[in-house]
Amino acid sequence: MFKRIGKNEQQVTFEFLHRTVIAREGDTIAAALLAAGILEFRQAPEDQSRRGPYCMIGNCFECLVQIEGLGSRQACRERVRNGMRVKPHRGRIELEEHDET
Amino acid sequence: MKPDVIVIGTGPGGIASATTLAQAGVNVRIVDEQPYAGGQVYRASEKIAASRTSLREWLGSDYAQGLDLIQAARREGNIDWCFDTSVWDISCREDGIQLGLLKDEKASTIDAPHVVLATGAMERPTPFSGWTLPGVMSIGAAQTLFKDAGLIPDDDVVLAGSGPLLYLFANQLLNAGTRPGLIVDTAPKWVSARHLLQLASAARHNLPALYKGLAWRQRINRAGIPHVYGVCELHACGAGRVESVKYRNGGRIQEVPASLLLVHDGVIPNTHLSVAANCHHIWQARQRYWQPQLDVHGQTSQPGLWAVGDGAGILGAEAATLKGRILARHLAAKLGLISPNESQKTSQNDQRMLAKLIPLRRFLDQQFPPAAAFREPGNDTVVCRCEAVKAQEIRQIAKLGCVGPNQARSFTRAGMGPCMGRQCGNNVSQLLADELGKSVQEVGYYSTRPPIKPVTLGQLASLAD
Repeated sequence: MFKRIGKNEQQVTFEFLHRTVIAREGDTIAAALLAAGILEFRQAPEDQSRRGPYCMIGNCFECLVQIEGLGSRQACRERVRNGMRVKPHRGRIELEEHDET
Repeated sequence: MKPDVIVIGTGPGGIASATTLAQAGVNVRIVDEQPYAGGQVYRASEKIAASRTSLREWLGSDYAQGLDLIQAARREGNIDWCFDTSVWDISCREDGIQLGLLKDEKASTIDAPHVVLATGAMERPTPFSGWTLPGVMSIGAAQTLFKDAGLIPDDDVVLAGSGPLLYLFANQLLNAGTRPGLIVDTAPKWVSARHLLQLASAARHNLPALYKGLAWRQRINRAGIPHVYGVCELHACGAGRVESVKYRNGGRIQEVPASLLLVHDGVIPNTHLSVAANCHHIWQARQRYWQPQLDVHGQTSQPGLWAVGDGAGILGAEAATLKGRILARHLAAKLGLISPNESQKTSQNDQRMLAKLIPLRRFLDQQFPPAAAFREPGNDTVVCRCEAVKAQEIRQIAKLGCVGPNQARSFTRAGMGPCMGRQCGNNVSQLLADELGKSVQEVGYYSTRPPIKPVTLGQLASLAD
């Protein structure tokens, strides 16, 4: 899928679902997930179809994820922070989902 | 300090405007969503320059030019840089333009007598069967990953679509040691006799650029990358993610395995802000995109709101730089910092250089038109990705008497999802126009209201702080 080039820069780890993802400092969440081989970021609210980043420049909103309990964040814009917890959206956002952090 | 001019976007158009304005003594604030300057074309230039990687060489000489432009801007003391900042509202008032900004979870407003939109281009989001599958991305998206994160697609990547970016990206991949598995070109292999006149004109004015394009094609050829031309009926296939790519080549349907399909169907102006500001827009029938209607100096139909660069009509990075400088001199004269005469005189050379770039662009427009096979999505193809609305539904409501995109939005929810129509807008207008037998100009575009970026109530409440 994708491979990394360049030197081993400063590493950051974060959680996606129950998986620990190793990223580089300055990565967007989308880049870090793609580098880890994760293409599917969410399931669409309308038809539950699987979706992942499409445009990477903030226009398509396909890369939306939940970050620290807050939904609909653009993974192509948000940069990784050490220890952050990221979750995919599964279909429609339920109110109680916001309560669990 | 309160800015005289706010520039939105740090791509070539925005950077060149800001630099020239600052040099004339104007206080400029420049806003960008990214943490560093460059826009998409020169994205991550400073980051790459600071890293000890070969990325800069791999990306090529055109990309490298961006760093000079950015560094020149960085030397100007009159520029106030606002990175990581989104614009979620724009309103045009008699006393100036007001923007709603969002940075670090805090919303704020700012106003200025003049705002320059340098929002750049986006890739034409052309719907085709299977394009919502994970693993189908735009070529520009992969280029962003290349520049911003040093991520390179594996060898089995399939590139599909048409246009110079397809060839450039294949060359950048070869530089990085990746050999794409296949290039599926929707453009014909040869220049048609109808376009020879435009080709000759492009050659007369800008031969080096034509050579560059030819060299890209030759290198793809020599590297032995399979390259099929004149292809239509592209499908991305797979369960839950892309696994193969299907296409029609002449009379034959072919299918190749792929873990990543990168597509490109040209670029269009990113007009979301100018639409939100209620500017008049014109439909460019040949290139099939909306562009804000501008006066000779680049002012939109809203006084004090200006547009420059690809966001005002696709001409490329070099033209954006020249136009940015020309607009900045006009604004500096308007603000009384230089005389109108001086503004005109100092812009003459840039105007001449700009004129030389136009014939090549016209040739590219003719040689790489939006792919016809893509333009008429099959009934089952998803047009609005956010709300999973298929082409069939848009055609059906047109038959039932739906007159335009805003009504279509109420009927089908197309354009009501988080992207607010950024991806489906042009396609919905086109589908309605085709079905109703009208021009896209007549059918129109979605109206867009703030907030034009997702804002939480907490962020909005911070306006009161």
